[in-house]
Amino acid sequence: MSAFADQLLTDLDVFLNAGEFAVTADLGEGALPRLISVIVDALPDLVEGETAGVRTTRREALCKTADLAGTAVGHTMIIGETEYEIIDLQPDGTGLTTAVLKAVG
Amino acid sequence: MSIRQGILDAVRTRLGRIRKANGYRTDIGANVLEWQTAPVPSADLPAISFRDAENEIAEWTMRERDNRVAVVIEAFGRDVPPSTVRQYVEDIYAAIAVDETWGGLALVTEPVSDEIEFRTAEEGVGRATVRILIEYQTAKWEF
Repeated sequence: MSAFADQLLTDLDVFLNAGEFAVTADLGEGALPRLISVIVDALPDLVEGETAGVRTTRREALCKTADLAGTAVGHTMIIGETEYEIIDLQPDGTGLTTAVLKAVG
Repeated sequence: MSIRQGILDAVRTRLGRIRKANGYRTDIGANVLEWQTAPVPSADLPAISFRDAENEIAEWTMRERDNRVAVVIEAFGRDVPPSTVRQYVEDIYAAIAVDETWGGLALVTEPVSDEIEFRTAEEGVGRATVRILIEYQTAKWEF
């Protein structure tokens, strides 16, 4: 990998930092927490029908790809008090992965 | 009041009867929306929405006109499985079957099609769509 790409990977910690833009998420299952830093986005989403539309939210967590080793679609991610199911993982090829989340329960 | 308005009022009332307490399988009648233009917050689901659109003039004479107005009925649910959305369709058909003349204002109601769809965001939204045609007769230049 190039020096520039290496630097980008190192710099990810600047952004994915709970003291800055990120929050802490738990990928652990059961008693053992597995804490990572993620940036959460809540994007407005509209489910359109023929007669009406429903306003909902698309919630995504931006993560370091390396932090998601062993994590797959269907696993859970807990952010704050809310438990989410990971319904899609979208790596961007630069060391970041977007986890698309669905609230559980 | 026009016959068409009377029919649509009856449709609204009938859809509002779709409650478990009235023997139906779902509670989509708790929130009936007519010609809803603003997005519905997902927190307000379940809901049922309808609109009348095109009216086809089936036949006419010098005195009378036979109308076939297309009505689209949609039910929305939040975090519901496919079986529940199928029950939405079942309940809508059952409600129509109670009296397909809508209190004698229409001649008959024709089923056209139904479909279900799902969208997963932070929460899942299930949608059931039922399309019908309501046939009614008016004087040639009445609505």
